[in-house]
Amino acid sequence: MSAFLPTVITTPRRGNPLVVLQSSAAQSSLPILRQILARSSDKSKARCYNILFSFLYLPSSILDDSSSQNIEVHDWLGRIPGYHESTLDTRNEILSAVKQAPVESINVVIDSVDTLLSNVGTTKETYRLLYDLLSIIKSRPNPSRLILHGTQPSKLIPLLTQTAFSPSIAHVIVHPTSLLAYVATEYLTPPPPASPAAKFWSVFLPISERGYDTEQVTFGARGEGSGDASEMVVEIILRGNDGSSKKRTVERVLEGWSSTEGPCPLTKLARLKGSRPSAMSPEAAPDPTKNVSFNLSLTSSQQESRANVPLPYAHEGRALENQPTPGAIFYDPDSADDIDDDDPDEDLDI
Amino acid sequence: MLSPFNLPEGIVLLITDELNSPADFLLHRSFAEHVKSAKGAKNIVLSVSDSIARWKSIALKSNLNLAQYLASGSLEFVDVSSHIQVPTGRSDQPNLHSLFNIIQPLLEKSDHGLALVILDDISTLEWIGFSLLDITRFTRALRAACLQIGATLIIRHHIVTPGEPDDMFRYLLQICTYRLEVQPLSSGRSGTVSGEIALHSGPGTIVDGQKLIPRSLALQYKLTDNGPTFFEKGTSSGVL
Repeated sequence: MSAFLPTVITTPRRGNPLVVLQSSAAQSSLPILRQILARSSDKSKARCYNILFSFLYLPSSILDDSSSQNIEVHDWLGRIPGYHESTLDTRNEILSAVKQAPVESINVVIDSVDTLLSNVGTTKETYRLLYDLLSIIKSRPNPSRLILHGTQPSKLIPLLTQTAFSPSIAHVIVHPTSLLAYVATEYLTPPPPASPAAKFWSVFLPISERGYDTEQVTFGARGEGSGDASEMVVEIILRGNDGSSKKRTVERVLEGWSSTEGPCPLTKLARLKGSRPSAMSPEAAPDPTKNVSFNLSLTSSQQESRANVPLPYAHEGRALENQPTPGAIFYDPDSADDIDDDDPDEDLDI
Repeated sequence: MLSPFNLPEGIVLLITDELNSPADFLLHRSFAEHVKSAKGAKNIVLSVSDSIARWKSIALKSNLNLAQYLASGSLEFVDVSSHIQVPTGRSDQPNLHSLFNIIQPLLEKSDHGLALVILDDISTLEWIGFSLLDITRFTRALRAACLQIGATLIIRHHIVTPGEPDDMFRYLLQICTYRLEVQPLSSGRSGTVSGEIALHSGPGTIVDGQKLIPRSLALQYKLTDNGPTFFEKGTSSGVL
């Protein structure tokens, strides 16, 4: 099965206008967002124009090269309601910036939908803004994408991932590797193919959606205190057109991401190797006859002599000719026995 | 900045502590090192619960005369409680806006890259009644102002429910560059070890050469009259 994460990271394709990156306190998906923007700025690959609206994170933490010509950065970290000099009109500024973008394919990135909600004020107005923004992007002549990043618990993410907002979506949820190790050890359910997919998802989904277990595993007494930016587990829900055909599908897969290799299978993640079951080919058991100071092997003449020794069994392995009589006990009472055939409990009335 | 962690300047540093392992020593250490390191450095302490008298008495143990720095203007001590009003819930204005209006001119007077702002502590603001929205907007504004002049911002947050992040902690995690986590020993109180410190990076931080310290390899410390001493696990004088 081909991986989905590399498809999400590459440049926009027709039919997939929305990418939602979901982080949590335990694990951030910003390294993946950084890779998406780096990939789209790469001169050797198909480039597209990028518009980044920074509400919470420093642009330098998301962009490798903010001076690149095909990246337009709106650093709005200081635009905070009540603390800004002028009245903010976030909605019109975002929409006009996107409408004025070049004709080529574009990525429009909002680094924190939750901070956008905090600025706009109400969930309804923020949803309407994002809906109108997505409509503008879908109407562009060249395939373009809206990339939204949010952190659970979020009021907006459950709304943005509904089909009412967009029938097609690539919903990328990141989990710390410690969560998968926890499910493998505490619930004896390692990820597929080590366990059946249906069983794994029935165990993993409620745990991951609850969020409490993820935070306990990371911040609890046995956790390391933070997620790991170098390796993470990526859950991808792809809804919409399959790139090669017009068939509408919904797929949910679990893949890995590492800072050295980028998208990779889960088996390549170093932190998960200890929690996976032992390899498919059984290891050879240690040979006890090796490394001893005496000779335990037999020569061919010794083996022949051994085979000719009669075994001390009565039937020597052959089937018995007569079946033995069933077991019976023959008792001869002597003078001291008082054999009474009557039933001593005869007079009981139970 | 802040030995032995050697953090870069110009960052947002979140320091979390617990009831049994207060992180006062880290705040005073960072202040003492910053005030001695750069001439013309500006230090702004926003103290919500501690008074200037306590800061003066602790600074004296590091041979620092705070009165001298206050007089020269290189230290500005803001007693937050005297500049804010406990919110009644009826005002449309951000309730911490008045506090920001006092801090902003102080920052504008600082040279680029030489200022240190300590907010001690953000949890008390929440406990006395300010809403999460008020506090997050104030913190965003303070952070933006510090970023503009390259100042270092240190925020202390008290963890009341270890292992169960609260909303304030989840928010602060997103904006910090690095986080110092001060925890008590899981085995209980000890005469030779006061607690442990771990160093984590923020979600958007590109770690370039900075040595992080996971909890499993946390640095232990002991508080003495002269300040803290740091050592690796199992290497304190009480153990060896």
